Amino acid sequence: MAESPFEWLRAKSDFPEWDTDLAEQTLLNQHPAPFRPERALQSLVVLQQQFGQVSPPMQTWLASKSGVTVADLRSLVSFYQFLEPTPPPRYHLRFANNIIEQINGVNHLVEQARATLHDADCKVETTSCIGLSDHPIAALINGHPITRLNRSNINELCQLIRAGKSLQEWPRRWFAVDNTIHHPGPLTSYPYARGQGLALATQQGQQWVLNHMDASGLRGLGGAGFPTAVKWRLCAEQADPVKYITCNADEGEPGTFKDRFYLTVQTDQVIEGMAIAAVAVGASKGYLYLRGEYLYLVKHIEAVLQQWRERGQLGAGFDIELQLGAGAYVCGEESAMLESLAGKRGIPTSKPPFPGQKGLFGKPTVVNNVETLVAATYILQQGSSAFRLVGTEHSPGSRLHSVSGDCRRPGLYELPQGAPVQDLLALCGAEDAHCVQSGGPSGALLLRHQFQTPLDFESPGRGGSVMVFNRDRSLWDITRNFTRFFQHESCGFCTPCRAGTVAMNHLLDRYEQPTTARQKAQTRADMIELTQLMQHTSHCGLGKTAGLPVLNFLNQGAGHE
Amino acid sequence: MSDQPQFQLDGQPIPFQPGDTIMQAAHRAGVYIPHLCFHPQFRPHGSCRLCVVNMQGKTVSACTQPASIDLEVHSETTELRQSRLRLIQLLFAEGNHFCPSCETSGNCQLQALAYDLGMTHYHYDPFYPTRIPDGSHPELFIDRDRCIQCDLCGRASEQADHKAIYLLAGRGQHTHVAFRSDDGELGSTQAQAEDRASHVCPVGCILPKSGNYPDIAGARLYDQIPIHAQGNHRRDDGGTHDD
Ligand SMILES: Cc1cc2nc3c(=O)[nH]c(=O)nc-3n(C[C@H](O)[C@H](O)[C@H](O)COP(=O)(O)O)c2cc1C
Ligand code: SF4
Ligand code: SF4
Ligand code: SF4
Repeated sequence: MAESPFEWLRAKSDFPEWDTDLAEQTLLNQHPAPFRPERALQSLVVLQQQFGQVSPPMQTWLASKSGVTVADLRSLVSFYQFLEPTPPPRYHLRFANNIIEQINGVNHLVEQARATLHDADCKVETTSCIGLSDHPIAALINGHPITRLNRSNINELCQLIRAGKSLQEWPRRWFAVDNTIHHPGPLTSYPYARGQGLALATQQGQQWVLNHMDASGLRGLGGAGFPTAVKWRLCAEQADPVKYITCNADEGEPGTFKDRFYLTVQTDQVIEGMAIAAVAVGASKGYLYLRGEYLYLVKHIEAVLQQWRERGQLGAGFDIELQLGAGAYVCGEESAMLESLAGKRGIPTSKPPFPGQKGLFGKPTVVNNVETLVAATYILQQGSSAFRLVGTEHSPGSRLHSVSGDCRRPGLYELPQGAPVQDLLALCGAEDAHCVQSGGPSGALLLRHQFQTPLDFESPGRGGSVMVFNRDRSLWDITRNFTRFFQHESCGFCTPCRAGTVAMNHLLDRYEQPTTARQKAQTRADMIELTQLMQHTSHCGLGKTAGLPVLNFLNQGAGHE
Repeated sequence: MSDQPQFQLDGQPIPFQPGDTIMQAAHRAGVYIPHLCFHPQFRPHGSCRLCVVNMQGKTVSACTQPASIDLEVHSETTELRQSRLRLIQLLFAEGNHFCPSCETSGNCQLQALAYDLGMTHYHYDPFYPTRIPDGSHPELFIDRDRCIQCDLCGRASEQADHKAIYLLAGRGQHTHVAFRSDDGELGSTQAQAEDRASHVCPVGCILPKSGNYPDIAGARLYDQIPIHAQGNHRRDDGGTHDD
């Protein structure tokens, strides 16, 4: 299991004074060539950890070492939410403000904390979902997750902060992240033998692996459901001898935490999946892009990677490097992730060319979600027909659903593709569910009469994340929460999303005002039109789907305002 | 000519060369697709989204979509004109545009497209953002209120001037044009009034400090000929740079 999470965490008293020798040493400990321009973002992330900030003098120093201009470093700091140019407070408390925390009363906790701590050396903020909706209310304290906050223990927490207690003195149970699988399935319970799938892949060779993956019918579990074999083959066919495998562990879709589980509990299988993909396409380097919110998993993942290297299963022909995001949901979009991996702002690039043709550093690149890679390992170990035993013809296999909200047992459930929503709700104890949001804010809102909808790629209920709401929840609040999320996370590249997400929130403000029926109808029409505008003209998936919550509300929410 | 591959744009055959985007081919053929961030001399960007066209049931940006044989592309449809109008209105709403007092009025591509698309009002609530101007340069003035984050200055500075002075920073609605100098001011860069980048902004964000308001109303670039008929120009390009 993960080592003490505190290794990556410090309260301010532990942050050393800015010191260039220490900075250089720290960076060199992390990477042999930390001053290559494409490492700029990673170096900022590491410095942020070491010194609690990336102040202007630190940026100037890094600029002089790396040749990346201060202005470019500043532009990175201004893009990534977790990079702070100002001195750190002793305590930095960031509450997740996903709808699940909201229905559990996070706004109240934020107010309470701000009132109690107004004169303490503590900054109280909110941040987008941190992948802990199964333990609401969750927050990050100096980057470390705190779970199950409520109206009573928040007082205790505030007292500890007021008393200046270091995090090591805080109750351990507050930091507990539970990764129980409530309903296991093939991917989470088969007798995994470390390295066996990779050995088979190496022995059988590239074409065999590609054919094998083809036969499995595996589709990407990161959202889009794109056939994995097709993606791998496109990359394999490129003439360029340099290719990359990347694992998308950005898991930013609010309400999703399945990758957190895989990265913690089935880490070997994620790594093995990447190594198998490397055999399939002929890559010698892999990158695992971990969201900054999962900083507490770094030590563990690094340790497992090291074990693989020590056994000689990584390192010789193929090695994997872990890189961190820094608080930007858009970096889960594959081309934005590749930009971020290359040390830039996470702005999605134009397709074509697709990553398989021209990806990281302009080289053919495979981008796969964590769970897709776990499934690839399963397929190599258990066979493609074993994989196909469950699921549907077009969405074979099974997948893990992150369940949160109004149910007795929030958490992780593995179900065959195509299982109806109601099966999941029965398992998690959500008999009085009134509606669910399936697939995250950009997914589908399903009302009670639609609970027979299958969770697979052919139907609106894609699954992956399922947020459950009972009759007392307001669809309006859900819509507002999601729409604010998209505004906050828009990368700002293209007009319809950068300005459209703001305009949409203005329209929601207007919709809330008491007006005449005619004006209300007009606002409604404007909202629908703006949703369509964003859907059709946005540059990437974020903007294309950012209006869907509003559309869902208008289609489904009538009478529940 | 005749053996060149072609695609159809609103029913009209458009010849193209390998590697062309739809926009590049249309531009060469003299067919106008509305745009702001595209410029034939610089690499495509795809951020303003005004050049959206329909193709095989999808809406794509013409400036980034590779041309291919026998495509049927539709540009001047009622729906697309409406989408472009709304995008223009979003650009107006998110900045601070007070045309009557603006140095670029009448010579501005954003304003010209607004007229072209029949814009009569903002439609969206104005955002009234706080955007900080930069007057540090002796010859150039930066009025970020009017910036549309198109990065044409960045591309021109890099590709034509080889100076790479301009860049975009920030995220979401806080995206803004910035300058590569230690203190972040334009005056501390090597920018010069003669740079290509000083003469590429489609709106009134990068301005000369002197010689403004040179033309009386009626004699300005877009007063007589609408933008769709003359293409995207600036009053200082002698009618040539967009070819
Ligand atoms: C705004 C946005 C955010 C995304 N976030 C993630 C993410 O956090 N993790 C992920 O695996 N895929 C995410 N995706 C999907 C990726 O672009 C990509 O399709 C996926 O990583 C491919 O992997 P797969 O084929 O294994 O599913 C996101 C897409 C968009 C548009
Ligand atoms: S749609 Fe939004 S997130 Fe995607 S490129 Fe445009 S502004 Fe950025
Ligand atoms: S930049 Fe163009 S649209 Fe903006 S105020 Fe000036 S003339 Fe008007
Ligand atoms: S300053 Fe002008 S050219 Fe540069 S991004 Fe802004 S609008 Fe575009």
